[in-house]
Amino acid sequence: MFEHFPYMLCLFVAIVGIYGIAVNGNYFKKLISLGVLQAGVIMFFIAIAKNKDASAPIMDCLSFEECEKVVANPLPHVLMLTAIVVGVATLSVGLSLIIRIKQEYKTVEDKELQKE
Amino acid sequence: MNNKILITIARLIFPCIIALGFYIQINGNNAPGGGFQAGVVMASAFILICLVFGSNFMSKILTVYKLKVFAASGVFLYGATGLLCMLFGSEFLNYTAIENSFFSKQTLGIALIEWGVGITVFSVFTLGYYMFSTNGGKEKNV
Amino acid sequence: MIKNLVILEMLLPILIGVSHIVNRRAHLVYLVTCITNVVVCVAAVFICIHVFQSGDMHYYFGGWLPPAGIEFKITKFNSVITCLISVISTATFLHGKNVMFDEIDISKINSFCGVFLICLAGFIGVLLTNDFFNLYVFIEISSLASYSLISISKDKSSIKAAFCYLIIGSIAATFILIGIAYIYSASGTLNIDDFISKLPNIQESNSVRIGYCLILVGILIKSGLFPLHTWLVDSYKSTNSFIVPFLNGTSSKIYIFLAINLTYLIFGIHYSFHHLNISFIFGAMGAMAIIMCSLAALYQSNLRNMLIFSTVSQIGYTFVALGLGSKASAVAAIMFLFGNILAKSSLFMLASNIYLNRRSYDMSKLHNLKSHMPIVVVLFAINGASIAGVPLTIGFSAKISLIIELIKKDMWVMLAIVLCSSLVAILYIWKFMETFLYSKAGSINDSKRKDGFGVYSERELYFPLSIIAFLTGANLICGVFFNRFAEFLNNLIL
Repeated sequence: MFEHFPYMLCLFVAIVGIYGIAVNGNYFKKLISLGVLQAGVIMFFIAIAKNKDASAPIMDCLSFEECEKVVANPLPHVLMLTAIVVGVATLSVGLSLIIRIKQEYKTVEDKELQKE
Repeated sequence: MNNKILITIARLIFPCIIALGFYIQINGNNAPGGGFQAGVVMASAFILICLVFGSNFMSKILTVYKLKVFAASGVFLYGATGLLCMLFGSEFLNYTAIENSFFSKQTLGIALIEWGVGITVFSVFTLGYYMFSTNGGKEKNV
Repeated sequence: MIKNLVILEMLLPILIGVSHIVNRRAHLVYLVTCITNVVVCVAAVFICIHVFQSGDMHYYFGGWLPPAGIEFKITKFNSVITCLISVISTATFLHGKNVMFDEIDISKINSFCGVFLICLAGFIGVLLTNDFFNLYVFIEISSLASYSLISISKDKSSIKAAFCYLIIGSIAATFILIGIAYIYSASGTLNIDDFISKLPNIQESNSVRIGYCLILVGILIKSGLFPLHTWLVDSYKSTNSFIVPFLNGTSSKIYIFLAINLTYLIFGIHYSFHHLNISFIFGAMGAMAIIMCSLAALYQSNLRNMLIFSTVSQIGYTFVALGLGSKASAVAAIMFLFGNILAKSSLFMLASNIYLNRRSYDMSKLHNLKSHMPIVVVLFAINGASIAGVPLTIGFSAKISLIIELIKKDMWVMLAIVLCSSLVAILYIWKFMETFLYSKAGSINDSKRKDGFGVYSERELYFPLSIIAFLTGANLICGVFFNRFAEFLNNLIL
């Protein structure tokens, strides 16, 4: 069971994010919980990439024969750079929408907005 | 009252942040860094100016329209690099068509697209803060 | 040379869309966007013809061969749906000049058209890509663009609806991302073709099962199947009338295409239906969608709301067809897809033209439309017949194929549901047709200009109506030559 512990931890963070979106009434808090969800998923990808006794995937020398070492898989790290940028873009679109909601309705609480 | 401290520090630190941003951008090939990170760092410098000196001062350096043109030009630089590779006969973004010597090995293509990404990210983040604080560019002199 | 058209299809809308940010003249922006749409449409048709003659096409980005690199793979199925998407986009733009300049503030038109083109590029990228992570990136590009498009409207509640769509859509895309993580950890590759070849070795793995289910849940949320459809209803209700035909024709339909791709082509019928039992999920949710949303459409007195609920019930039909697990039922699902894209988008475009004339979507203001807009009433009748399942239209061929498959599998309860809801569909279309045909005493007898809002008579709308007539004609042709159409679709999935 403890061999899967890192993955369970990352998905626990993601589940806390989903719980936050469902329970919070304030739109702003929902958006921040969305950020927590995305952080959990990014950590999950990085957790997959690790090999046993692996170090960072940076080459200190000109070719592989000179310095052999076990490195972590660099592909998920690169994919997660893209995923972070996507998360930032989603956050910025969400924040613009919240500002417009505040301007039009004067509140960002879920309960008051549903009465409109 | 505390404005003098803020103004002095902002004046001192602004060129350092820009220099750091350039450093991160240029070192993207061999060290952690590259376009997105450098764009965010350089945007933070301009957001500092906007916070400390106000939007009126900012509008003398950069208007909303200039930032939009800057953002579009970053995307065009990226697209133009890819299309340039296509003009030399290969697929989109095949950097070996532009340069593939032993020492540089496609660094020119990667550096060009990273500059495109850096310019766009810088202008979009600055534009984001600037438009939020001036209500969409509707205040005077913006 | 043809290979360059593939990248042009995806790249040109992005570059032109970004250039619209700096262009402040609304009419020039509209013209350039129309030209871009037509170019993308022509490129899609050329690629489609080429693929039908010479087989699948692969485009390797950067010259890196798969599985190391990202590739675009264009099969017959892909290319036909890309043609449909680009035709709907061009039709929305060519038809919608009056609607756009009427409903959207003229200072916002350049950003609107720019974001529209980026959305179109994202959808085309979703269709053509052959790499899992590239699929996620294009899904997010198109979704972010559609959140922004929905929020531009004269109605205040569109901003709330866009925010709800953002939250739900981002959760769905994150589920797809977690599913991709599981699939990558089990198979070691992100390339779809490579994954299909590795799948027989890793079938028993739990990671693949979890990944499959997570990606499927993400796709179901995004396509608007019944319990997960609330974002669709709220968004389409309150947004501007220009974008609704486009989003209806592309947004949920592309995710239905992805569902077909995932269950029938990537994982295969054996894995999806015998190894994992997804036919129960598709069947149950589809049946609930059909029943609840057809009844909800019957009680609507607002034309646009009725069409939206009708769309959700048609998505239910499509998933019932997908849940049956045979090639012929997949063909029925694709027929529903075609019928929905052509007929429902035409109905939404007709509704926006009716709004230009009567300034209201409410049934009480739409009496006696036949004396002011006879062509609109005729086109509404034909497209409504396609939705309801009257013979000589694609809707009829789709329903007949579905009914034959249900009879073959002895699913009598589902058959009863489909037949009863077809009756309900005829009823809710007829409710509005009756309002259009018969006049009420004392109602408005002439369209006149009031409050500074222009009221368009039908003479000014001949060009938009001809675009809608073109789509309706395509619908009728596919419906009349039913056998050839069914054979053509059978050829697509093979």
